[in-house]
Amino acid sequence: MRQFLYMLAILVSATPKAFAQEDALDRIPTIAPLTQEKPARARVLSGSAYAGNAVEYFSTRDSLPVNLPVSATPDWLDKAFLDGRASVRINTRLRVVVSDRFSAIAQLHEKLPVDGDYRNDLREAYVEWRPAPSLAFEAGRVNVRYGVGYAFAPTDFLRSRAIADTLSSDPSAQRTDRLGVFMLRGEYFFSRGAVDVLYAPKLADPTPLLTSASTFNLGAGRTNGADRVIASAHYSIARDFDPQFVAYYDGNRWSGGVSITHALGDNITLYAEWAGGKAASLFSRAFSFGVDTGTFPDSVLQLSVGNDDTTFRNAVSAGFSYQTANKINLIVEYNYYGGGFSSYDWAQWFASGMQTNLNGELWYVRDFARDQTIPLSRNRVFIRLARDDAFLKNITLSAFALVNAGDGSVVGQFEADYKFSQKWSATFIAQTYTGATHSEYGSLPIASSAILSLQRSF
Amino acid sequence: MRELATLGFVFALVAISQPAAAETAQSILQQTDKVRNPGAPFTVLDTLVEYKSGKPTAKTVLRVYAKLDQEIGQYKNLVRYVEPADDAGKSLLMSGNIMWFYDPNSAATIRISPQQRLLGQASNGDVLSVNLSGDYIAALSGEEAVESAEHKSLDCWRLDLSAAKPSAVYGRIEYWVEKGTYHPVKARFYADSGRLLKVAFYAGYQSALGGERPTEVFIVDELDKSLVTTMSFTGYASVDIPDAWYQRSFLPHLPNE
Repeated sequence: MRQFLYMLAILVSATPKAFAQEDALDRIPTIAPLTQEKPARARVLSGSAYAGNAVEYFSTRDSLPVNLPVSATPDWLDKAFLDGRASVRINTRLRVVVSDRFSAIAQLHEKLPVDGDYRNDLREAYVEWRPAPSLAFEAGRVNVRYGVGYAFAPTDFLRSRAIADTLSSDPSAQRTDRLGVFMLRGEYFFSRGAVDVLYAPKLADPTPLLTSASTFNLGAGRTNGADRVIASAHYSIARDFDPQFVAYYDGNRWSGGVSITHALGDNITLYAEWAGGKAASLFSRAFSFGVDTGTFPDSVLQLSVGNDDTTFRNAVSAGFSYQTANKINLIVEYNYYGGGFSSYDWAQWFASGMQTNLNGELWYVRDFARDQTIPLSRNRVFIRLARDDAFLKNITLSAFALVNAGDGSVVGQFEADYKFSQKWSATFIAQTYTGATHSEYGSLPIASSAILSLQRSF
Repeated sequence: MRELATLGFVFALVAISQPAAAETAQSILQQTDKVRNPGAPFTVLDTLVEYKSGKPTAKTVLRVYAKLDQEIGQYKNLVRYVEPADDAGKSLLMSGNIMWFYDPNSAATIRISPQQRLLGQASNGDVLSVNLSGDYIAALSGEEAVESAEHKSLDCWRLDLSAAKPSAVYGRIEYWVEKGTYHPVKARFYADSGRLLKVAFYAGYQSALGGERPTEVFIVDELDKSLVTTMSFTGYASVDIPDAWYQRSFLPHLPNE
């Protein structure tokens, strides 16, 4: 009898029930009838543009362990900008891409009159030709980025001197607004990988570091100051094991590197990257560059540790990204740059600054590292936390900390982006540079800054 | 003897009224996968509109290229953003749990995790071609009449899908499939914690690429009840998609047609 009741229960469960109620159905908005729209045709012109204005306030330190050669850090800065990117499809095989940003800058310092400035960054201007489905060629100024590191990508060999005008110090913003390099590039794609070769010719002599920014100059002296060749390949050896190898030649020496990513479940992505090659120390490279570009006399080379400290140097970036279902993203990354300052180098830097009149040369090394987009110190840790649709829809909050692992000093940034309509958005950014007086970030002239920006897209 | 006859009658009734056991539930799921996803490589234009309290707040148009990866029994997808203008040219590659995202503004192709949602309330799995039968184990939990998005009462199988692989985005799915046609009608998606995340309705069935396919999906958010996302699929077309396209390096070159 129990068996019968059991079977009856199964039978009842299998019987169609009365109409299942679903309140979710009532929440579907009344929209156009369920009709097919005509498929959108591929557009000839696509792209985006926006204009905006940003006001930035700086809080400076009263005293520095190594004084700046000139005291010119502004208190306030106002920046108006016009930014656009366009892609024009000539036909199914030919495409033209242009990307540009113009900034007009007004700055105010209590000891200086109001200063004016402007700059134009032609980030990209190239033609893409695809003669076959698995083949692509590009000619012009192209932003090509290798590597997988977030804060520092050692195999991103074209990062040098590519910094364009940016508001945020977040590495993602630095990537977005950087200059491309004039080049010829060919890519071939096959089922498990791809190879590409590019040649970036020398088009001008390298321009000095602190060249006035008021220019419409293309900046070929920054991005194309030497002949360079890159060959790259990636091949999927096994599922989710697809390393990318990059070889780089800059007219003097070869470098090489490899990067790899791997997923751990749905939430975690691991990544690692290495590059190595013979190179001089940061001191030597900076002073050599200063002499080559006419900033310093030859005698300044004696300041570096020996005249030639070229040796094989490594650079590493490794970390993970953790993503939650509610749109929170955490990135933790370790960076090692073998050419960067060791603790001993930092001690020398501070000691020299206090005992000699070489402040200009010492700060020049730091400016050089920034211009090359390489870590100034040998070891550092990067942590970034971001959340999309945080508390309110269309608000993105992000914060990062870049920690010098040697002295514990930190540059931190908080950023809030709010897109309050399809066209308008606002951004607030706060940055702090903290640490002991004789530390990387604690010795900077700026202690903190805040930016408020309003943008309208078109 | 009488009890035996009764038992036999009950078995017969069960056998008639319910497709047999878990194996059948899985085959129903496989049939619905075939309804949602054409077998041959194809392209489709996907228009997503997000509604907040009944008012449209955002529109995204995506060009999707999908192709079955025989190696893993799952679809490989390439997506190119067509609209809005700010996002035009961004591209996404999804092959199993391998995902890469390309942004033309930074010229960077970055690895992202499957949890990363790039499309507002819709998950990647909602937009892209995914074989649910590859990621979930189905059990038949009953039959019932369900009201469709077009307010029709449809006789459906009710399937309980439980995640079987790490690539499964949801912990559990309740899935209603119209008997006879294998058309998905409704789905309720749950997090690993058991919390109801959203309800989806499949509608606008039209003939495309050799079968009846849903051309409209309505996603009703259960975490924020004011949010609804509609997805419209237009321009289904069978295309020859080279395998060489399904890799990160190709994302900057993905065509918009």
